[in-house]
Amino acid sequence: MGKNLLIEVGVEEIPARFLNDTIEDFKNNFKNFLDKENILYKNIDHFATPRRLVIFIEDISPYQQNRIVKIKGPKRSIAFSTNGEPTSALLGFMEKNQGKLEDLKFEKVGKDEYVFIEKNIEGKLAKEIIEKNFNEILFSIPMKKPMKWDNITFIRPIRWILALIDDEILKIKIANVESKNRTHPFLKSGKDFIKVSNANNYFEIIESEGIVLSFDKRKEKIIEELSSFEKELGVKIDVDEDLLDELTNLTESPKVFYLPIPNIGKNLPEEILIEILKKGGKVFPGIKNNEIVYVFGVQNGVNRKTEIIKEGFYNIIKAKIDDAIFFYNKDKEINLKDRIDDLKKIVFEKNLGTYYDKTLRIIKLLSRIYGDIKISEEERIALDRAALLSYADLVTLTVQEYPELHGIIGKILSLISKEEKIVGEIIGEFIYPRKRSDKLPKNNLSKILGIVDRIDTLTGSFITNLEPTSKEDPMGLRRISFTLIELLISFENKLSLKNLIEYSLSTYPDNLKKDFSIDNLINFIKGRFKLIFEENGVQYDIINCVLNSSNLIPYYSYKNAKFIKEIYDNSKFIEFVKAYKRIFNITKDYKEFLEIKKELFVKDEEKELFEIYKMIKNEIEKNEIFDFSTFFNKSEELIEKINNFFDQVLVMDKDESIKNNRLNLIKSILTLMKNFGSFEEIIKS
Amino acid sequence: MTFQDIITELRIFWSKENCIIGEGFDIEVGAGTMSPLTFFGVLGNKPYRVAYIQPSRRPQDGRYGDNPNRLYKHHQFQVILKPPPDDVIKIYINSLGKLGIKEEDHDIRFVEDNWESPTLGAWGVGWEVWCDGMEITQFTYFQQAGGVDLKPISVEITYGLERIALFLQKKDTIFEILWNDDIKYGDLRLNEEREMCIYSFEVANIEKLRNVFDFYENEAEVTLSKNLILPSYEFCLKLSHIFNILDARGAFGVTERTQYITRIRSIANRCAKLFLKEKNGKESSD
Repeated sequence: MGKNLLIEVGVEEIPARFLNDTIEDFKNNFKNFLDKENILYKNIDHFATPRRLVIFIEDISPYQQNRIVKIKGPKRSIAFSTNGEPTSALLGFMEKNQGKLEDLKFEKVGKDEYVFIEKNIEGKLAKEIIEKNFNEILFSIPMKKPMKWDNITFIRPIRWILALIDDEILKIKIANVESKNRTHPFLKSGKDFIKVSNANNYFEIIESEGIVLSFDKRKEKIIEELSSFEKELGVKIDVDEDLLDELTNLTESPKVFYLPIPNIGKNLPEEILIEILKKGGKVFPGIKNNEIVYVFGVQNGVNRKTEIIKEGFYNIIKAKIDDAIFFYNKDKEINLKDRIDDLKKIVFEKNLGTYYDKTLRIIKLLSRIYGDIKISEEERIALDRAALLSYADLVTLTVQEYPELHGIIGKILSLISKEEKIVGEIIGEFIYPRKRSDKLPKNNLSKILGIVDRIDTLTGSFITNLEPTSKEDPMGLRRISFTLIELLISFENKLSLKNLIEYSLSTYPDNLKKDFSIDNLINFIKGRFKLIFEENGVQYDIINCVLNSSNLIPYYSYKNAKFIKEIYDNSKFIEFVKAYKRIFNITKDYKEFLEIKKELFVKDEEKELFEIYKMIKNEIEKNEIFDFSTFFNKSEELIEKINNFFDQVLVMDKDESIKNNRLNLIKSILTLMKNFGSFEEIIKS
Repeated sequence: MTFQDIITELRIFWSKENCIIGEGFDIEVGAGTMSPLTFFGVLGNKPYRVAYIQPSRRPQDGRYGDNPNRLYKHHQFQVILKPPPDDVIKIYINSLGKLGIKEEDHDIRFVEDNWESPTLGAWGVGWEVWCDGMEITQFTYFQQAGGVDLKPISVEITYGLERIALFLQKKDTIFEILWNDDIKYGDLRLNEEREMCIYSFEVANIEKLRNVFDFYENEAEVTLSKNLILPSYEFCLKLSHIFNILDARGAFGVTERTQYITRIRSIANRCAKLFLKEKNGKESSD
């Protein structure tokens, strides 16, 4: 049995939202370091609570592995004189590296041969190497919101370090904190510290303090306790995943409790009440007979007095509801439509104007896409009205206090302000999905407004250089792109990405657009699309095929990818791809693209090919076919004629005009096929 | 524990922690941070500890005394420790113990909440402290004030006194809090809440206030040009309060609002720089 290494960095409460990334990065840094330094181990594990970052390495070798290092010397031609004697250059090199002539090796680097010696470097003590480099491992964790104290920059101040290899203390020092064989209990708990005499006792000690070290176990504990309350009380608990994760990382010793909901909750619409409970009270609503009867919270500290804590939570929840009732009643006094002017006071983004400006852009953009979709006059009126009111609820007191209620308040107030029911429905729905795989709007009109709103933000952000970097995405454009794609897919329409962006561009002033490249934005959105495909198990050649089609229509890209996946091994599809690639390869370097001249055809095969091409093209254009399955099912004869053409006709005719005419013909066919995908990407066949 | 007992206990506690016990500043401010005791105290590198109560006015939060939890004016107990001791959290938790909040009974939690004052050019990171779900304290490691990077940094502990009293006395509304054994919070302050809200929301003359803003700004320029740091800073605080009243009335458009904030911050930043310059001059001549 080898020795185990334990490091616990004691920190003042790390923000819940950063905890998982922080420990993950810490572990990866540590692992990369050990690998780089050739220190062997059996397993590396990591755990984190808001106050502890823990690394546990099982069976760590006491020494680095011995290494053989190759040292490069002079060129062979310089190392030896013409009669084969070692030159002073070589001798100097040997002396410097304490090498022996008989151990010399020769190797070619580039054009020349060089002299090498190999040196065996003995491994140093692992403990010493870790001690020396620990601070760098810790401080190279990327931080989103760092702070300074004692001239040190980290997420929050470090207050203790427990570092052991079995029972031996690793000497680490950060500012004036020195490592010891001590951990700290849950908050004060009467004692200031607990001795950990051996790394292997650590987990037992921590557990006996009521601390649950791992995120997964804490989450599991909360879920288990919630579900046992569900059974006991006969309620259904609305376990919001984000809140669950937050509470898991706001506690190191979680315990679930429940309370009756304060009676005054009945004075609020349920949708508002739920949000107040989750965001304001950080509790989950529990529902029985379609009514919220209890709320469920998580206390930090299993030994703390639940009865006392419950009382505090009850009062705070009551106060939050009270506050919300005040806001809501005030908000009801002003009609939604009378609030639009106030949007001039709320900045959307400093280069992109206020929400008033955004509202105007959305309305303009809607009018542009009406030409591309089937929509009745009545629906247009409703959609325009909803767009006008879509952000008006931002100026309500309720939304200013609870931004997550944007949309929901808009819907409720629009109904109170006697707007059409459908208008309220759109306002309440267009904000969904709020994140990946969130619920989708039910109404297609809500989807249209959602698409338009997102395109506006994406285009605006890209023209004002707000595109995300690896570190920052202040506008949340990744999330917006994901949800845009989900909306476009579920909307089942022929809206093309390029058109949408171009329409949106027309709603922005010219001086903003100077450096904008539409391809940048399309590629960014494609990047998210690719991830969605990958997660759905679509192989990469199919993804590239559909995403690189000449006209990216997200709904059809999605549909076509699914279809190609189904027929991937089908012999007809293989034939299709073969024929495509024959044309693709021969026309690769042919850039000219001229009109096809019937009178220049010589052979029957080319005339026939031209006829069928014209027919299919006609049909595709007339019926607006974007669906690859439809095209594929009609393509059998086309493929046959393509093959006949290649078998019987020599494309590269001596007569330049005949040759070019043939190239024009097949290039046109390629263009037609490329509308459905870049099939050269398909690997099979 | 009555409202005034809480204040007394905190004063005694922090006095024992070697804090100067200061008094609330006599100009309208939105938070304890704005008092010169904090704003200038956190600048420079000399160790410094202060604690004081600061009545804080936020017109935006005014509810005519109708809302059980919101006030035009509330009271903060403000503590500054420069540099922060390593066991600052433990000391803070001990202070709660003096108020009868025993750590071993309650769920005391530190929930991320970063703080920024655009008008003072100040920001910090830290937490709001929850006691059984109720936010009772703002706990901040100051990083910058007056646009200046702080070195060493200070910790700021701001107790919300009304919140703590609500919690300790188990009352539903602030106005029912016992100020002392005979007088309720409402007896003392309800009418003030109502009248100040009527003034801020209905009576205040917006156009005149804008003129007053310009006038104070001008005075600040004059005092700055004569290196009078404290008078300049006092004008900066007056500007900030007028801004708050105008803001509560919705008197600003977006760009205008940003411009007003920039005007105030410019004075705050110059006060801080001037203060450091004078101080460094003095310290080096010591």
